Amino acid sequence: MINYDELLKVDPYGINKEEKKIWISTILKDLTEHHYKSCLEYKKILDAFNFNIEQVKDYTDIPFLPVRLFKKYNLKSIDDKDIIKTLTSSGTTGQEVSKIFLDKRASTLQTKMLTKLVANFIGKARMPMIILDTSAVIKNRAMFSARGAGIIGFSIFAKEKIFAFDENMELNIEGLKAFLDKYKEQPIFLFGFTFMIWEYFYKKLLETEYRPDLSKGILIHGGGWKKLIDSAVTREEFHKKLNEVCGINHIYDYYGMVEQTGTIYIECEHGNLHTSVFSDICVRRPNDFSIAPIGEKGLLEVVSILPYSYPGHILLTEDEGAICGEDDCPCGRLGKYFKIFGRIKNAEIRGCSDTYGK
Amino acid sequence: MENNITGITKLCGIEQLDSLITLPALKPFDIKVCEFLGAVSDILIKDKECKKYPDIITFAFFCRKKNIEFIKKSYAEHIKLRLGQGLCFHIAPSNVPINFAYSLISAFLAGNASVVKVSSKEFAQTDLIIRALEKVSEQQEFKYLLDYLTIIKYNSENIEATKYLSKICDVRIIWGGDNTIKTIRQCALSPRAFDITFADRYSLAVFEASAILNLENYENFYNDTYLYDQNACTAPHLIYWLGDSETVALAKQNFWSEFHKYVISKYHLEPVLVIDKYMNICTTAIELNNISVAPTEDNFIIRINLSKLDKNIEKYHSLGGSFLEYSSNSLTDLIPIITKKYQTISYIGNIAPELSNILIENGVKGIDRIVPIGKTTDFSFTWDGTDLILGLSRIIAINN
Repeated sequence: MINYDELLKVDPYGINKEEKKIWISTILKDLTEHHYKSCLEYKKILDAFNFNIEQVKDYTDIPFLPVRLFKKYNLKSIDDKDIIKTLTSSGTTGQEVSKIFLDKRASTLQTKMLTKLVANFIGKARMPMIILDTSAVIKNRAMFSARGAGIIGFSIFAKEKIFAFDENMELNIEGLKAFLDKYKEQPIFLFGFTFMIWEYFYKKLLETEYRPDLSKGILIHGGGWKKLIDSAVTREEFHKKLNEVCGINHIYDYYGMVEQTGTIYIECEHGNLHTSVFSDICVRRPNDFSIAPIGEKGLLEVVSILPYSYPGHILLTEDEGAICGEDDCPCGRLGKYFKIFGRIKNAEIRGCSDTYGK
Repeated sequence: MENNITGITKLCGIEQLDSLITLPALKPFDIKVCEFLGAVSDILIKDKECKKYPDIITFAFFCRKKNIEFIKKSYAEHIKLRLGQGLCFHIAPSNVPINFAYSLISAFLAGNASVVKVSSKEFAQTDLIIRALEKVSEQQEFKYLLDYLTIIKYNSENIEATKYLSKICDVRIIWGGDNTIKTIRQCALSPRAFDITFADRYSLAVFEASAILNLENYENFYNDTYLYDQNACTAPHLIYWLGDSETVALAKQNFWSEFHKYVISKYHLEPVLVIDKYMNICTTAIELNNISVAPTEDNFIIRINLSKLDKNIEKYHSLGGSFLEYSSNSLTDLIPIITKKYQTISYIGNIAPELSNILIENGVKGIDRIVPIGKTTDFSFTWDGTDLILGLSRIIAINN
């Protein structure tokens, strides 16, 4: 049994690369053994690769699971009776969604880790919080979407909270006015999903005369740039335009996925996404899965010490990224820092069956 | 009727789609039709631009006068009292540029007028072939035939267009696999019209281990597989090794290491296919028992070794270079897995007679072709078990 309470006492951005590699690899090896014993599907995959844990030097020698596998199978390393929560990815209608099974401990630990990581960026003090979303997302507590889970998780930083949109995704201007009146001159914490913020906050504000004063606001947002890149909005533009409508200066993006909820990679003031000691990123070359050096683009492998109730500790994503450096970001945080370029493209596949083409 | 239909772009052929139904049917291998194709072949072979496209060259060779005459002879006894069915409506696949041309000439030689919906993607091959058809029909004697070769483009979501063409045609030929067939079939045909469909199929290869040891040509197998991202219905996904375990082990090692060199020198591996292939390994590992993944230095060739052949192994296929492997001393293990879905067996070794014999003796429901490696994508008028010349023409019975 891994003693997470002890592990989580560690400074999340305070271990240098030599130590971290050993530290995290030891835990990930333990997790691999645990899942091998507890999850038949995981065991079968490792056996197919003829995997031998004795030969593992560090975590990069352990096979990863493709994130898509969680859409196809119910993978878990706990008894069904211990499941208290099932997280799902927020796929659009018709798409298969990932299902992530949590027991009580996993659920608590996710919140704990999230708090620890976010506090490093915005401090521990609770703040008035504006959730740039609708309360409708979190109505069903047992079946959480990634959106709902994010909102609940980040709400831990709230002294008092308000949802910025009503059930119809309309901006609640009167509510916001009253809320900001009450907390005038105080730091305000804002949270939401990148695309929602752009569509339902920024664009709606543009249509109105209302210009809330959020110059003391701190916004954390995530959920991917894919949709925004499709509508040609860059990170710089996102920051600039939001500043224009509400005066906000502190905006932090984060990268994360439902398959490793709780483990997020937050962007520092220098625009770099950071790994913590609890997580790591490895960039793999698609042609052979060899590890790409700093600066080279490739497929992202994400690892986290958290997933104990399901075998999601070492995953291959379908996102492209590149490591920018390790232990030397000007923000002072140790660990790898990186950039994301978005999802890999669906290729034009030849052949007579129209698999991808339309 | 046609006036209501919008969004159709005409690339070649008749002025008014409505007039297609007025074209008389022709005799199979009509003299003028054969001459027309011979002339098209000449133009394509001489066209410098076409040299860049091996698929066009192969097509041009298929259409050359001698080959058509040769094929005509083989049909001589069957086509005496036949006429084309009338109007064929072809839905060509979106990802094989040349396919529409073969579909079109099959219908043409069988005696039909055609309206072909080509892929909405831009392919140089489409333009080059249309250019040749138009060039030939500039000659007065061939002018009337261009109407029989109507080629159009429209967005697949344009249901009204599909409905209209389905209603007026006598035969509908659907390429592009199960999903396309399902979608197109929502549009009704007239009572006597029928579909010829090319569904998703599964293909495999049988390698006689002792024959592999002398193999020098790796291009053949590459053309069968990677050339079309292993997504042609004819591309093998299962390699059935025939021989004693020692010979098989040696043959496997030789074959894959040599083939690997060839693949990495030619193939561009898309990252999305790498994920698909990896995903397929995991799925196979979970759903089948005792599989093992052959160790590889990269992701170009993924090989999954099976200790037994399960009935549903065709479920575990992936594109872009994923192979299941099974070895046996005899061909009999193959019989229980073959279903309707199985199409082509390509082979290495001197095993075709034994193979066809065992399939026929056991009354298998699938397998429509047995061809040596390198020949899997070669077009033939007998495709997926249907003779297109006979299927696209009708016979007039005369009783004296």
